[in-house]
Amino acid sequence: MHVSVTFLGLQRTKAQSDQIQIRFSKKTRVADVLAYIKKHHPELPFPEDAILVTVNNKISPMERILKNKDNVTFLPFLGGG
Amino acid sequence: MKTLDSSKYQVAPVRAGYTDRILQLDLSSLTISITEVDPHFRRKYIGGRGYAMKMIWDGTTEETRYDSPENILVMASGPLGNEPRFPGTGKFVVGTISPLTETFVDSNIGGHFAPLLKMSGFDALAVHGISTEEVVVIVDGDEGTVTVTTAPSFGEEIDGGGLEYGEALLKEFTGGELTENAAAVTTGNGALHARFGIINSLFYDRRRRRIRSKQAGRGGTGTVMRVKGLRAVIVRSSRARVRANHPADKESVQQAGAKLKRVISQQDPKQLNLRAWGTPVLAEYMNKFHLLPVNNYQYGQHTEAPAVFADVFLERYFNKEVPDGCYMGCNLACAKGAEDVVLTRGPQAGRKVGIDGPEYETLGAVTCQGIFDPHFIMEYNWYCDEYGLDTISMGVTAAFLMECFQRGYLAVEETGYDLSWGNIDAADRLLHETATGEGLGKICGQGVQRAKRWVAEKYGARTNTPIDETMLELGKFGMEVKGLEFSLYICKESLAQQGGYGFSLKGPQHDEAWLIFIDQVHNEIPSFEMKADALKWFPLIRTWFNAVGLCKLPWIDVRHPEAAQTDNPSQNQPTLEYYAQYYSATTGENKSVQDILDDSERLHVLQKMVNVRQGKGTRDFDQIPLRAMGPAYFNEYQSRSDYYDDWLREQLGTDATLPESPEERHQAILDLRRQAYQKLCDEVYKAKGYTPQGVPLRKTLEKFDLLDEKAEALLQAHGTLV
Repeated sequence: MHVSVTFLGLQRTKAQSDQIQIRFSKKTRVADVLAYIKKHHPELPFPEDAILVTVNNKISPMERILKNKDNVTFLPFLGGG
Repeated sequence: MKTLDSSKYQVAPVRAGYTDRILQLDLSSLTISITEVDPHFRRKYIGGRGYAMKMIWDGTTEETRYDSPENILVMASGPLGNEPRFPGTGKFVVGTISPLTETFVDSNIGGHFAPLLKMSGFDALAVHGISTEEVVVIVDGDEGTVTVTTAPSFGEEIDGGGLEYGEALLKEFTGGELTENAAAVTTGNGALHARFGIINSLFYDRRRRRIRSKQAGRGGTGTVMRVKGLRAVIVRSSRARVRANHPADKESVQQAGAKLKRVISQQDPKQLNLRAWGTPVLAEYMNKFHLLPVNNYQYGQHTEAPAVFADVFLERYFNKEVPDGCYMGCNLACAKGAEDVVLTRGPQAGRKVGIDGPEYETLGAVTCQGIFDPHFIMEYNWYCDEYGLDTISMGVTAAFLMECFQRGYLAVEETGYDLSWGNIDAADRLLHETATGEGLGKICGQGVQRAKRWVAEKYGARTNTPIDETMLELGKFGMEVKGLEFSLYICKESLAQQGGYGFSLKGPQHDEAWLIFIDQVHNEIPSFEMKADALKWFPLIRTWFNAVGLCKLPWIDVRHPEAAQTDNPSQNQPTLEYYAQYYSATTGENKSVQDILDDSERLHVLQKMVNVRQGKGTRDFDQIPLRAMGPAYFNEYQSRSDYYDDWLREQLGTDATLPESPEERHQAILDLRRQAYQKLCDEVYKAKGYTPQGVPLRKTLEKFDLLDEKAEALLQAHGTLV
């Protein structure tokens, strides 16, 4: 299956891309996607204890099992101005 | 400059963050006096907005309007302002009766003005009365003098501008040698013609070698300043700033500041990266989650939005080599600026100027008009600052007029020109007309609430439609509450943020509550009770920063790595502990975070009572436009019909049958949204200790020792017996 990962802000500029597609076997968790990104894009910033995950624009736990064509975003904390 | 009055004084020392003196100026009688602050007053009202609010409560009445001589313009920092060892300590508030809302408004602002005022011996400056001629006030802490002079003229081009005039004034005052030891507040001629005039805080940035500015943008404080005939205030002090607060425990201040600075330096580069990008970084996240206002908040996302993302400003405009704090010692340093930007429009086209900004709000005020041009955003930013106009109210009122044009409530025969979305020429023209009070700008300068009536009258004259009928329709998309324009976040998909805007005491500004992400995205507060608790907690802690002289961004926009292990990660409690330590170490009063919340609640309740007195404090005035609750018009529903249908299905239950036609589904959504908002009102009033009509209960006032004669009379008038 294919999962897309959207990069925003600093991740986007470091990756020089706003989205990538990754092919996974079935039963892939969000945490697996994060591990993949960290391995293949070590230049991207991920605050260890302040990552928010959205899957298809809704907040999601790291243990969520992804489906084909799901879109994942790893966000920093946003508190508002 | 002709001296009108001058007074010598002994500069009071700062002890534990306070001078315990307020400088009082009456511009009607040209009287200069100094009020001593007693410890009881200080403990109860803290500083900043607390001092300003108490002065307004005591010194004005329900009859007081923004242009009444008895209105008071208060500029006040707080006990934690002016400490370079702690981040974000250059803040002060300007508080007054607002031209837009006709009740108390406070707007916070950074820079060096308040620290210098404190070192000159004053915790606050209170300006009363109205001068018959334009004046400048000079507070010279080095000489120990307060002087009122006639406002000098530097030529027609310079005199009208808040930035240019302030710089000329500071140069004259310092003999041409600009220094960090002198700062000023000013506003431009636009503040004379619009109700949303701002106050610029000007300070010398030795790294950029120019005067920079920050703004008290909301609520028309600059308009009040100009109505009073006050052209500028200059303050000077050459005292050393390190330990100038004379804290009770300087080692503990040092420790608290070092801990917070470490969190910022380690976390910000991996989180929002505000130090490099400033607040424009929010635009990208807002666009992703349909929160970036486009075409007067109709839509929250646009294909052209990447043209105004933060990296565009960083590459094209911002100077990357310069730390940009608005006050010494702040390592978040988010006050971005640009040099030698060539203006291409308006009366100063062709000039190269330094521009301070844009902040996210300014950017959103332009996308709200359907414009995605970064250079126009830069020019809009500079002209608004120079004219003395709030970028938010200006943009939101312009967007309202544009939507009136879109929906046929206004035609070219009334506007004088094509007001279509994205028309930069029209937006630019409207900005300059607003500054001069000409053409359609004369209406725009009155803000959305007053513009609605003008539009209804014009439309009525053209179509014979009753004014009340049109007003109801305009009320759906005129984005104001209590007379203040919304700040630039779409709240229609976050019930909690609808409350964040609706219950905000000054009007819909997000500095009381910004709950969009924890509600809409994180879904951390799903029940009405949880939303109500958040709508009590966040306004208390957020507005506490305005009482003590601090910027809240280091707390709210940099997540402490240990916050994730706490019960409420979004409260960022580990960082708040540093603030409690800093407060205790400075003042010598040992306070916990809960003590801080209790202190802030007293100010919150007092502000509510000011609103009740001014006729803006009841449930009716917490109601928000339909656009703020949901897709007010069918085109908004259509733009995300799958999302809205899913939402409706979730509300009705998976077994329920959705209404057949899209029009019926749209209507069903709006009905549910209206009901939810009323239920939220009930829950929030209960949580805050108010009646169902939104008036504080007697026991709430008693709890905070606020039941004075005035409050008693108001409670009786509203039938609040318990």
